[in-house]
Amino acid sequence: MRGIAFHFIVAYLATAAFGIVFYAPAKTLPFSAITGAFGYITHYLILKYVDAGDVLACAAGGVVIAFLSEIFAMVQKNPVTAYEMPAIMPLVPGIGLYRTMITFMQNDSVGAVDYLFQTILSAASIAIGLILTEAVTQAWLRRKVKKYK
Amino acid sequence: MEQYTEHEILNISARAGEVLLKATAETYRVEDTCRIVCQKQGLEFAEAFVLPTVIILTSNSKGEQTKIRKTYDRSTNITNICKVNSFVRNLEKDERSYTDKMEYLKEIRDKKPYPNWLYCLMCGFVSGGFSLLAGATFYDFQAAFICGLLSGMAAILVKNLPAKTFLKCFLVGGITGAIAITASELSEKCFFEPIIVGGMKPFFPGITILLSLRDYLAGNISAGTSRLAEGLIVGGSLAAGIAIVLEVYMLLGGLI
Repeated sequence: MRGIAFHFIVAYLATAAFGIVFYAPAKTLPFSAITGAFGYITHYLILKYVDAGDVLACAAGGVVIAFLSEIFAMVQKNPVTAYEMPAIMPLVPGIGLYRTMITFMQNDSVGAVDYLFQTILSAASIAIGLILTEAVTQAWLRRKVKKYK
Repeated sequence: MEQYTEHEILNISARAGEVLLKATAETYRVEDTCRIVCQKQGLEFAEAFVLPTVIILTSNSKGEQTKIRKTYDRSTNITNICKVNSFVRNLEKDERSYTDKMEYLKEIRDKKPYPNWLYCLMCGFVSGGFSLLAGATFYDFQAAFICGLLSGMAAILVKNLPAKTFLKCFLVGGITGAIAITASELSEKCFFEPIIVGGMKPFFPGITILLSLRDYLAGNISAGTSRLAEGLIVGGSLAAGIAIVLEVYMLLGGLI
């Protein structure tokens, strides 16, 4: 019933709202929102159509987000963080943390630790995706554009 | 450009770093900013040591001065990060005097670009939107929207109290749990999980934990550890708020 377009649009609007919660400047809002929407939709498509786990999907989403953020940051001359911070929020595994808590409350410690480690792995793989892309883009793209980041 | 004394250069540098630290910028960005402000104004060999709560700046050239700034009051503010960034980039062309620069930095430090009602409203939309992404129906969207709205108001209300980080997240968790329970009791079309996942999303410590992982991967163990602790405290108090409400509900005879 719910297609890719629905997820894309909702992710776009939610990331834009997150931009205002994080007090991002109005000029960067549409760009960070599109970054977040593409990152989320990458994660969603990989989970749905490729037989892969959450770790790979999160890492791929992180790569997409970091790449788009670098481009927008160079165009608008803002720090990369301004686009990355709202954009990674759709990827952050909130549902995993919720399940960890609820399984702990049901006295199922083994299941809770299982969920906890999945959550930590997903978060770590987002960070790894971001850092890998940052390293590559800074080595290739930034060499020409001499400026303070 | 007029020549500043070493004391003044270090003050500008520390103030710029303080603004960034209050806006929860990454650790390496604060360190780079402090160093570059010093170098651009002709103060060689300045070293900056930054933790999430403190900046220690030292110059090794003439007088060997040290500046320390600490802040216990952090909230994400991307506008300030952008403003300090362009302030540092235009520092050579900047003709303002020392007092004006300090005033400018102090002014942006204490300013929020959006009014409080917009903040609350957008908290509501964040909660609603992420509950939709977590598989909610339109009925859940309404409940999550109200969650976010009330949580935003609670966050603004407790802003000036002591222990506000814990208190804020605890309240947010409590509100979210209460509304999720009420909604799922009132209507059979509302589900528990998406409302809670969406409702606590605006205050979720995702940024903090990702920044801490970044610090770890960059080799900055001390800053990474303190950020990780902050993230765990925020997440723990969110979970505690929800858990207490759920326990009370179960005591009164409900089921999860």
